[in-house]
Amino acid sequence: MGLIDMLLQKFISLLSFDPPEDKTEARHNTGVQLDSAVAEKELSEFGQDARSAGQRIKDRRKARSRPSRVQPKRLEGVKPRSGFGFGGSLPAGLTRDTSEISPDIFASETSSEVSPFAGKAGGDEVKPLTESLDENLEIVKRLLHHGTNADVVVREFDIPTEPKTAAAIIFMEGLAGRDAINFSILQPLMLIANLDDDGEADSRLELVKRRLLPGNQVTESNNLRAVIEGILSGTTCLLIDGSDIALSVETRAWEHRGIDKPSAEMVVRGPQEAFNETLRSNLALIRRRMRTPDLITEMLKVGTLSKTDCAILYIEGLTNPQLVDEVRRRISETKSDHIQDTGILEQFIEEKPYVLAPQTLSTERPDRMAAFLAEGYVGIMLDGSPFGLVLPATFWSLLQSAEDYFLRWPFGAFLRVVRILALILAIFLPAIYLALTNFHPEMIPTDLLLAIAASREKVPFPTVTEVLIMEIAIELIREAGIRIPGVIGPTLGIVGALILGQAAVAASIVSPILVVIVAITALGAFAVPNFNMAFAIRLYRFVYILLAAALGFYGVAIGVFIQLVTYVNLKSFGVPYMSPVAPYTRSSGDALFRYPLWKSEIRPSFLEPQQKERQPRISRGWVKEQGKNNRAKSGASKGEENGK
Amino acid sequence: MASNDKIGTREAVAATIYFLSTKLLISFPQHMAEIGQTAAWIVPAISFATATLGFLVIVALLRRYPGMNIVEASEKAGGPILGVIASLGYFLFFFATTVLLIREFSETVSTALLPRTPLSVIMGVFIIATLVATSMGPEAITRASLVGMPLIIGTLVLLNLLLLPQSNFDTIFPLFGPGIGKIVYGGVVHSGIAGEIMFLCIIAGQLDERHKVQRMGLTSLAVSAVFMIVSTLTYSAVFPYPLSLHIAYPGYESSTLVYMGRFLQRIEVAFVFLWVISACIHLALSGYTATVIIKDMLKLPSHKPLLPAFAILGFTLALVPSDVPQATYIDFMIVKTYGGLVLFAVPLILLLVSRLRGDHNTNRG
Repeated sequence: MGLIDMLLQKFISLLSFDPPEDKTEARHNTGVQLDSAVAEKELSEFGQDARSAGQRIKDRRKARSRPSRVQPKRLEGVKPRSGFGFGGSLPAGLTRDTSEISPDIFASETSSEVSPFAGKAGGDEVKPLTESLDENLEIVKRLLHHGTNADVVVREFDIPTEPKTAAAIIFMEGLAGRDAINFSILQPLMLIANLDDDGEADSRLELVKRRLLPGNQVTESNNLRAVIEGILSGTTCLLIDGSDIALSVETRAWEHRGIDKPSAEMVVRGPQEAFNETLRSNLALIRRRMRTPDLITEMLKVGTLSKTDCAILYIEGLTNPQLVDEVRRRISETKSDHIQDTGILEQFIEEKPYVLAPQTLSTERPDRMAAFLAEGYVGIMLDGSPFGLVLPATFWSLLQSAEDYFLRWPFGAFLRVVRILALILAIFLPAIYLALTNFHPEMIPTDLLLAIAASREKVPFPTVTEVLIMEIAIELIREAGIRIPGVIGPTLGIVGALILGQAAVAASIVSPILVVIVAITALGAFAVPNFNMAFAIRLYRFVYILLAAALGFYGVAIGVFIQLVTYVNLKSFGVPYMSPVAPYTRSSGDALFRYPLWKSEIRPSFLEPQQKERQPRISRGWVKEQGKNNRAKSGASKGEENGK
Repeated sequence: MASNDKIGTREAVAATIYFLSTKLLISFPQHMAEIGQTAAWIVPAISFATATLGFLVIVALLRRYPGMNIVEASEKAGGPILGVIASLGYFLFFFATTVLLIREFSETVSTALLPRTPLSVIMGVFIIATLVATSMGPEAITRASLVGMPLIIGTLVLLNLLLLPQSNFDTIFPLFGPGIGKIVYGGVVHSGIAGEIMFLCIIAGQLDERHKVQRMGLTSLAVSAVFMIVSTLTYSAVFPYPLSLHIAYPGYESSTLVYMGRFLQRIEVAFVFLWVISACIHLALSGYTATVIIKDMLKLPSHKPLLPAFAILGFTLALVPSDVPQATYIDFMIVKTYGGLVLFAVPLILLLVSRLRGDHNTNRG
């Protein structure tokens, strides 16, 4: 027992160990040691169990750390939406940009909820800056682990005022642009500066800001948390001696991939641009297609450690505000440490995680995102993710492709029918084959039945085993095809084709007809435009294979029924999944088929958009004009004839 | 957002049509032939016409108590004793319908699809599937009905068209079979075959457009009547009287006759595939209706806790009839005969009582 207690004490003290060179941390360290001493004293005095004493120490530690969590809220509450802790109006010349790339994002509601400091910050991150550059630098360096963390760059210099003013910039190597720092911060401050100093620190700061910082976005802050968050997102922090305000200069310029062609949502006709991993580029791609001031980009932070920028996009005055509120609420209430992709975020915000059907629509196409926004949907973009989310998702929207609209309506409608057929084949074909051959051979025409029987003659396995072997082989090829290094990728196709197409048949492992069945099934799955939906289909297929193996068509029908009621009962962000078919709501016939665009007059009513009409009833005004002209012409010619 | 949990008009109509028409898949045409002989197709017309009058009576009762469904309205109009007796009558009709459908349809599946599978397995799977749907509530079932509506319409239209080459319409003569009197009597007495129309009045409280309940009911009755009459007519033309009396599974037997060349034949399994889905919807609707009546009677907050108990009870009772003929006899000659009396005559009595007492609810529902 004593050994356990000793180990526990040791463990607790280890947890509270800090570098001795850090004065503040050393103070904390001493505090904990004192706590331990008190605990030991309590133990000796009252003879209590050391475990309970250890627990008390933990409780005290918790109690001590509690204010550091509460305090930011209080600060944010005092100065709401002030970004860097500033209340009131900004000084002249300082732009507080509220666009999607504004540092104001750090003042979002969620930013007060989560902290980027995984380690022990000792509550320093919420302290205001002082007028001493040394003190400010010391705290910032400690919070950023300067010295240990090689990415942190601190450059101290003098601004050539009379007398000289000590200053320093802090930035993250790789996140901030070198040129921007050299030419927009250091050069003007070190070489051009020749300021008439009136001795007032704030005035000096203002002069620096107005005359010496040519950067397009400069934001003030006296809150360390905001300063640190700015540095971590690529801005450069300028600290000036004698001023308790830091300037964050926009210098974000990390390396990123350029705009590329879509890889998962390719089209023959239509835009060939796809999102990349940079949020600001992605938002610009959307905004380029939606040149309306009503396109709103709300910024939130997700992930306590990752602090990933998350943009909620909608059109003010069009999108249902309840829908926007719901999306905002779910994202804000998501508590996780690391959310780096919309694929992760969607798992936190979807309604029923145990249903296979995808409940959000992901797209890598800015044109598609813009089109959805114009219909009254809400979009989500995440920094670092080349896929945006469209909310809510309906079953029908997951079967649609951007190209449906870029082609003339009969072609678009035909593509939809082909896709429905592909969906049915991808889910049911192996199950139907199994049910037919095992339970209902009388349905198969005699010639075909004989052909199937002959092809299966040498196969030693039951049909269900044969089907499962082939389906698993296809899944293996598919998975291997994604994971295989690009250089040897083409080999996989040859291997797969040989194994499945010839060798397996020649070895009498599977029948040739089954190869055809599985190939058609795979083609069907590939024809489904949504990646998540295609995944769901792959899993459903196995369920139906098992049902067909057990109960034939009866099992398949029961499965269809259960899937049907599950789908009609499902909701995505409060919107029934099978809308507008069930429940029936008015729409422009853009579900199973696609009507001509000029007849698509209303927006999907299941979204309850604020503006229900997309276009007037007669959207092709020229037809009316032409009709008028024709009538006028015929009237005139009749008049002429009468005149004659 | 269209997130309200009310049942839309189209969904309600689709569900009611399913409820009324799915019995075509079991032994309905055969029983019509028993009543009407060569004039079997006229019997459903008369039954549906009678049921329409009964439905109007129910709606009249419902209108006196806005905001209430028929169970609550019956209790309000007839007082605690008469109201409970009436509700018990409604419950017995729907519960018996549920139990007998389980047995009859499982027997059809056993014969048509799975002859070597134990009946209890087929019944068990059938009940589990409908239990899933029933637990999701009426919105899910009615929406599934709307999605599945093209299935049943397509199946019936296609089957009737494909059977045209095998049909001989001379067999419907003499036109009035055993005589007009007997046909009319048989039709009126068997008005219970459209008794499921009461479903609309039981879910009245959940309807999005409750004021349209009469129109919904009349539409459902009209569409279903067309289905019933046309299908019975085709059956009579394909299986002439008295052969029509001896077909155990009319829907299935009819579909086996489809022959459109060497390649398109023996497609009854495809029809049964669609009928299984229809039967599941029907069973989910009748199971839900039965449990929700009990829920309203006992003033329970939810019907869900009742479902497992009713599922086990239904499974057990469905095994009681010794064979299919006995099950179908109970269904059509007892439940559907006296069911009409319970479903349409009792509300008439309650309406008269309510009028005499001058009792009505002034709150607009």
